[in-house]
Amino acid sequence: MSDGSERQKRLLGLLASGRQLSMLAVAGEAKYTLRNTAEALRMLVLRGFVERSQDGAFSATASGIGQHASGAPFRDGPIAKTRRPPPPLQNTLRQRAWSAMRLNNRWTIDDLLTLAARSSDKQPYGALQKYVHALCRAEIVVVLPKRVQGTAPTSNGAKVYKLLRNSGERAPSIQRDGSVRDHNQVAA
Amino acid sequence: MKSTFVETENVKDFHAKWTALENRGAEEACLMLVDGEPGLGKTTALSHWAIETQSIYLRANAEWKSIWFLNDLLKAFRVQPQHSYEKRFAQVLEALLLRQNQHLALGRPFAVIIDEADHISRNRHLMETVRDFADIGDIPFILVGMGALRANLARFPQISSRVSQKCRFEKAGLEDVRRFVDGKCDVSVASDLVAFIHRVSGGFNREIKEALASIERFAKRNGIGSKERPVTIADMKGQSIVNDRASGEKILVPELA
Repeated sequence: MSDGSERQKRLLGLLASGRQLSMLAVAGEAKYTLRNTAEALRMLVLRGFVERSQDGAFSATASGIGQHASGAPFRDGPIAKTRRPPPPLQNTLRQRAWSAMRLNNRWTIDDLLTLAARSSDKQPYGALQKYVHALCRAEIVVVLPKRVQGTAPTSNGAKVYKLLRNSGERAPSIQRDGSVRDHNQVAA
Repeated sequence: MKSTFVETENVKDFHAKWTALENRGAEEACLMLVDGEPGLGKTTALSHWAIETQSIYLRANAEWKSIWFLNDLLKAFRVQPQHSYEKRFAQVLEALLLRQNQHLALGRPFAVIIDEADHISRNRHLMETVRDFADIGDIPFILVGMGALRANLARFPQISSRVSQKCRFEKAGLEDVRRFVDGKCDVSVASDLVAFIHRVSGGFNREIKEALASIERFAKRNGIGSKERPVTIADMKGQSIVNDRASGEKILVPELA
């Protein structure tokens, strides 16, 4: 194990008890130079074992506490595989509709159709209805209580939706079992 | 109402100006200005274009600062911001250039659209940041705003000289109102009523759509509006068609228009 890994292990041990310490306090307790402490903490943050709060205090994350408890060695080398830039967004109806949901504060399925559908899309209304319902089930989208008035005399109006979790630009996909996969979370 | 996007003269003009921007001579002149009064369909047209091209669409806030702008851009690309302005600037530039390259490979246009740009058009630092991106990466920026945008930018000659295309959204003409009727209305509307909508709406898209909804509701309730029997002014006499923008009063269809 290298010196760097040894230091990281020691610092994680200091923080794994649930304490929140500033960089100065960590350096003082571990008796490391500030430069070495900063470097080791940076690596721990990158590994996801330690997090830094807004006021500059460091604390161990759940995975950091688990790592310390397991006593597993720190491996040297790259922490994560170097990722290629993500592929370009597909120009599908769902992707365009997802972009429209992100751009608008509240919307109806008709609004999505106006902004996202093309003449070449097959049965876009049904397709979007299915997609939006799946997003509602996954609690990514919510239905607002007030409906938009329709023009037909017997119309019950149209449901108004709002995006609850705007996780990123990639449209979530519906799996065969009806569950929703968020590709933004996967990419992150 | 049908859910179709209506290509008005303003939208066509925007597309023409975008093509001109792509074919510009001076590479650094890659800013575009889109302005016009509220309710002329700027936001709808630009959102539609952004969704179609998968471009970046941001909405400026009144308190936007350069760092907030960079953070919003990084958020759009899902990049974790680093801890200094300098690094964030480099991160944004890299993300923009990568995205621009991807769009180039797919033959898809790419731009960063900043809606409500009036909020930032007096902020020299922010406008200089936009200029830096435009200069360094030849990344087109489309600034969308209302009346003050053009005048505010004139205060910064180094920025206004980089605006190669200016697109002003004008009030809808009679032809545009006819396009709205054909594109959005589920019932047929006679030309006298189309002319009346044009007059009372003042050429504002919002009012036109409101009027069409009133007409459609009335026609469906009374079983008229087929191709053989379009809705006329005489049919709708005494009905409220739209609210007056200035006074908020209901505008009624007169017996003889």
